[in-house]
Amino acid sequence: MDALPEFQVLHPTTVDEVVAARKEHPHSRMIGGGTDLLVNIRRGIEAPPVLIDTGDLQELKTVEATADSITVGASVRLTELAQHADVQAHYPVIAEAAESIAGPTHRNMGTVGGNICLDTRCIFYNQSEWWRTTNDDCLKTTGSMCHVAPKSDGVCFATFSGDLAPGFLLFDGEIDLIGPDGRRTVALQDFYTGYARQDGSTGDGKNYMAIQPGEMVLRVRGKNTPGLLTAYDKVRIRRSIEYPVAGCAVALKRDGDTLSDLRVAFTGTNPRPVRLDGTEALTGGPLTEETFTALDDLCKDQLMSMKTTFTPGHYRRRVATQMAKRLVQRLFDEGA
Amino acid sequence: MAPKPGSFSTSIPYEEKKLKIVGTEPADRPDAVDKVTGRARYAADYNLPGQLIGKVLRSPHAHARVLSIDTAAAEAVPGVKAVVTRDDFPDMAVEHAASGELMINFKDVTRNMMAREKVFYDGHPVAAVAAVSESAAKKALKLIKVEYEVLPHVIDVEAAMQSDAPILHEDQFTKGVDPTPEKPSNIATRIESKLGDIEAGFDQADLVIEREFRTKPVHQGYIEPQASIANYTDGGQVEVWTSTQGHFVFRAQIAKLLQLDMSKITVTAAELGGGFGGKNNVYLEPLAVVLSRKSRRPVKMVMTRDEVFRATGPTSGTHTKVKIGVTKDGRITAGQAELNYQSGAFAGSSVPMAAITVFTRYDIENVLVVGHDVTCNRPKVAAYRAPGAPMIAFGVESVLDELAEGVGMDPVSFRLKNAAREGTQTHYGPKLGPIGFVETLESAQAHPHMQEKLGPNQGRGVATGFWFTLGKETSATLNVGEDGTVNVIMGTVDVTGGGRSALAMVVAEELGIPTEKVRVKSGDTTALGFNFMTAGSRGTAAGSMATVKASRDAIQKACEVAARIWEVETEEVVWEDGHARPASTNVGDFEPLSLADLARRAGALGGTIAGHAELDVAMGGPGFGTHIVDVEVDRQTGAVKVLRYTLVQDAGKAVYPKFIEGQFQGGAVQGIGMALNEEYIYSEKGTLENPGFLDYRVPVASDVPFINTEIVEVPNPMHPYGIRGIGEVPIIPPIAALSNAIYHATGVRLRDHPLSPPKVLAALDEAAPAIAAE
Repeated sequence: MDALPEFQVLHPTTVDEVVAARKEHPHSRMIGGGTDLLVNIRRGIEAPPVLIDTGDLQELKTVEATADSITVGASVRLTELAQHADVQAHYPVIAEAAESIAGPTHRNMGTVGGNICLDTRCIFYNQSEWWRTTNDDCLKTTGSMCHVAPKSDGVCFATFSGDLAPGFLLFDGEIDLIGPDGRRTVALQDFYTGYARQDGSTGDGKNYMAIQPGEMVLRVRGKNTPGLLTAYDKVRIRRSIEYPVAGCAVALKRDGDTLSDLRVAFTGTNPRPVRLDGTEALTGGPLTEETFTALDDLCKDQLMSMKTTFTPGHYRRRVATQMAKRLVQRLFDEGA
Repeated sequence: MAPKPGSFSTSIPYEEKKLKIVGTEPADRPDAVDKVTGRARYAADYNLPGQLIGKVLRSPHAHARVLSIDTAAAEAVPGVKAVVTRDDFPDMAVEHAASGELMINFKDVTRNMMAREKVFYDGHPVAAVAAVSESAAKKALKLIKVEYEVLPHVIDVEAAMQSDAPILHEDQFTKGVDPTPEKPSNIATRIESKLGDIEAGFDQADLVIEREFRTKPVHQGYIEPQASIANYTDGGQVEVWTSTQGHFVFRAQIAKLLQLDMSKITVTAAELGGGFGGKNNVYLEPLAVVLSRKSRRPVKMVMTRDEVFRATGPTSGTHTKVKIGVTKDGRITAGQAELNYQSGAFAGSSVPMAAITVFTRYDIENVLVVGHDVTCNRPKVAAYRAPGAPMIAFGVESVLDELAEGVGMDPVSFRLKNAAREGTQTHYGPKLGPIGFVETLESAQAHPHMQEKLGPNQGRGVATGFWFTLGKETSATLNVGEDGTVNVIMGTVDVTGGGRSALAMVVAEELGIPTEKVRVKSGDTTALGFNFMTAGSRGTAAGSMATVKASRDAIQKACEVAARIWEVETEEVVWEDGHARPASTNVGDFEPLSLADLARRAGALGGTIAGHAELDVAMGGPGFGTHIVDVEVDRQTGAVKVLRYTLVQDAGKAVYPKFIEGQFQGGAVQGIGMALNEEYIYSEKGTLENPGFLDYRVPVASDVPFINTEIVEVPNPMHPYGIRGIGEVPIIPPIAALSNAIYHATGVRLRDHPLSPPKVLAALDEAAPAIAAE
């Protein structure tokens, strides 16, 4: 492994100190567990002169989960989130997602803020310096072309693969930020901007978060709906220490034999976590073959199949869809 | 083809006797605690005052002519003390030597460690720099200007064999073909192994099945990257600490490549963080020595994981064809195979070894095996645990599974019916001596695993493996301390971690003292006579032959000391239960003397008690194993879950059974990884796309179940304790066993490795219409 370049590490104890430090060091980066960032630094993808450690920010280390809502601080470790009794009781999809991330040692270090902001990934990006140079540096670093989609004309297709975002998207999640201009709250749906021209906006795999210079994530929140059943599943080639081939979060409600609410979200397929549009249209009746066919169509429309990993894109889209169907069936059966 | 024992090779015949220590569990493993607490010293942990850091500039091209190299700007970087290129190394003529289980050619070795006329693969070294810091060295690498003429490249073995393929070596004409072709070819060598009359054999068959198989290159995946530190002193002494499976062989190679006297070179093998055959070859060592000579400073070089994957030996990617015929009642009448193996940039793949193993588990009268060693634009392959055998076992054991089904026999009974036994004529030469193959099959058949019920989408697969045990040069020295405790210097590298314990147990058994009183350490190259590397499962098997001999030598000396104390003849003293005793009551009435008693007094009675052995151990003790695996296939994702795994293998004699179980389990897990998800992925440009453990997917604990093991003991007649080599057999059957299990779960046969989820799903899709039609 390559040696790390030199950098300074700051250990602020309050959020205000972080904001000041960010102002003083505009090229600094926030570091939680470092499980994502340090790998990129070692690979020479970035070389921030200053790292601001979030480990001493006690105010960002709380988890509150009730039947009505969930609020998780950015510095909460993934292991804690996964094992939190209230999260397991009321938001199993989030506990399961947290439990599925990487391996136990990564979860002991990795933080919620880090996973929410996880850098997008691509076979042309997550490589060593020599590799990227040899292969004509891609759009996400210093190159002028996306090698996954050479005709993309400036759009990067690097894939978002954080496991927590889909779960929070099901609960109409919001994210609290603080920056030089104070605090603000953004809907999670608007926070992830990696539409890669699906909707005509400018976000893509390179600019995948609506975060401003000097801003940091404080908390992520979600609102529950009574009677919602939730679960998370993901396909991995290796069963741990692996980014998802695709991850799927499902929430649904069953009233008698009627599917009365259905929400589906994915990670690992697009440059953003995708909350599937149009699932409301599948509710109001029983769960039938038609429901699954319609779900299939929604996935085909909204999930991408770009070759950003070694696992073929069409395979990823297909298994993502399969997982959604299985989870829907399983939760619907559980709701009987 | 197989290494043949010379007429002066040593074998000590099997001695049937009750053993007190060998076969038990020692109280501790002397290397374990320091490894766990981080105190063990691996090569990268060594530092010398004033050392520089060396880095290598590597080719970005799969195939190119090196027109010029300009190092002027790099040399001007502050902190850079030396830059070396091809001009700093003497050219070598064709000269072959053994290096582990594969053969090397010094003309190629020098070109592999530093490119000369051409670069042959992405990652091929072109220059090396030594500087006061890694950052200065890396800065300098970027300033070296290399002018390349990029050439067309070829990576896949079948493509490389085509007559219009880009040719790597213009002076390579296929050997083993008569007459020698006039046109150069990537096929370096054709080999053939024959028994009986193949056509007649197929004529006798009622059912003949012929299939083709393909496997991707896989890497040994050792956790410790290659690392070396070299010091070339002003007085001309060369010291090297390195990550190696054979420091004596490395010394010989450094001496040859740099034209130095061996006596001036001391190589020390550091604690090894895994090798599996991948550390049988020099890569960094000669570069570090020359950089040190040029800079007059010690030079330390550590590979990154990228470099390990790009430039150290993976195994061959292969294309194989297997054709086997059976009679209605399940008797195999003929076996034919073609093995096309990548050797990478230079000739010398494992195909000769693999060819030995093709049908050797079975008693088949008519055999034809043809192998091709094929150069292509990939790193030169290195040995990998039973080099080449898992790939051809995949083909043979898959076809056998089909045949068993075809004649209506269960897979184990079918194999039992055709199993090789003592006296079976192999297709590569010798007749087999006493072997335990049948015993492994019978144990497998009787194993409770076979009674486990299988659910929907679950299947059970069986496959077998064979590998030999290498002997070769082995030396050992044993010194008895004044307190009666014993130091053993072994010359092989303990590649597994349990080898030192096993040798200590053997010495303790011989001397009749507790194992804890014996400490075994690997000596540097000045401490002992030449030792071949730890390869071919020979570590404990050959190592113990030398330690038995050295122990008996020491016992002789101990008896001499006792004779002097008692003032009798040495012949009148015997060694029993750790004590010198009078040979009979006629000798006199003397209290027995322990080793500690004798050691305390030996100084004044002729000198320290010590023993030596310098042997060429005879090759022998082939090992056989049978594996059973249960899998569950997810028909919607193609994921294969390994539910249950059982491995039965003949160890001859298990010296340290717990450790042998660990070896079995480790081999099976590596095989499972190789089977399911490991593969080299190349871009169209010929660059390796997954040079890291995240995307080169070795299995993790969550991917494998507990591996059940069962040890069978059929003594090796050429070893005093009956020990056979055991390290390599366990990696051979898994690909085939898993593929067979997937078939029994789904009705679909996979012949294209790896058996990864997308491939399994694609195969299920492809077979769906046919299965639906049935």
